[in-house]
Amino acid sequence: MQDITSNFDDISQSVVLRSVAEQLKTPLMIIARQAELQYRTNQTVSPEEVKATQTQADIALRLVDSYLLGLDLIDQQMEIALEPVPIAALLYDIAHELTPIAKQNNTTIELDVAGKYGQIMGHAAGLRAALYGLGSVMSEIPLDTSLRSIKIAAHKRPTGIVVGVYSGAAEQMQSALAGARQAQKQYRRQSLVGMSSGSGAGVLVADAIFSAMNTSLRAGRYKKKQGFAATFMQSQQLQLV
Amino acid sequence: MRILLIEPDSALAPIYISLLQTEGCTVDWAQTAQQATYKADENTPDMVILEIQLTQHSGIAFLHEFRSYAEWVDIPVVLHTVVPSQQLRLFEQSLKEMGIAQVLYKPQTSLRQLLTAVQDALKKVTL
Repeated sequence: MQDITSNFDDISQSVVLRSVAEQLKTPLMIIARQAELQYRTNQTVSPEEVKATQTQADIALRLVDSYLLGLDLIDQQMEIALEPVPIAALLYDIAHELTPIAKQNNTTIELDVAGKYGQIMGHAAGLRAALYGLGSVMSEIPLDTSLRSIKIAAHKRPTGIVVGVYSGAAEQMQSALAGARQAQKQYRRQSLVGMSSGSGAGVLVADAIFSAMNTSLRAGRYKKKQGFAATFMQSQQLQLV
Repeated sequence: MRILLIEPDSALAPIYISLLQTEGCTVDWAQTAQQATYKADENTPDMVILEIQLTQHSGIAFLHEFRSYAEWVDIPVVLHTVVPSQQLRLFEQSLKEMGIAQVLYKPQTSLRQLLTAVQDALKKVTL
């Protein structure tokens, strides 16, 4: 994991890459909003394709933002102030944000926050970006129709609160993380072959963001589903209800 | 309803203009703060959609100028910007004082969300 952080740190030294990521936002916005406008105003003979274009461009925009956030977090790694984050509310928001992608891929989203965990110590924007990236990867993985669901969950372990995104596809999960790390080491161009390149990179970005928060992304298993998870400390702050 | 759209990007602006026009709004488009001031002077807008990352003068400078005229003090302004919220915290106090109706992060704001923000801001005007 340390290697990934240092590699990512090397990337963060590159002003060029940061600038490219910033520059990419505008064309992606044009594609996404133009597609949305066509869809809204029925200016297309293939509304489903236009909707898909919009969704993919929006995912790519989120990914670029997450990448830039990852760079920011790593740049200021020593100063990251972890804050109490209400985990149930955060997971609910992420499930809501992932719904359009899931719908497009005929995937259902299950939310499972088994227990009143209150708040965990993390970086709210970083957590949101990382979990969204993972969720978008999962909802695009080609699966049998019977397995088309992803679970966004938090559960308690002796080591802390485990927050993760899981799906029915065991092999794909393992290969996704391995693929992300190979891509990081430049053995591969794309972390998940056969999927949209933007979403596959979500694993890579999530990995780097979690590293910046002093936790690590790992392949995990929860309620018979495989996925990615990271462990966080529970906040000791009093919960006033 | 007349909306002043301050959007520097000439590829994005027509998309927002089409959207607002299909909703029955009249749109005046400005690419710079200076143009925006002229446009507002020619036709007083009912609301303003503002990107603060502009060439020449910044959107914040425009806001200060805009709010300095008594007749424009109550016109709702929606920030629709590429500047992330973390960076906007630096201007939090200024934005509060300028009476911003809503702040939207442009890369993650759909047209539907933009329309909702516009409708909310205009509702407050008509109340």
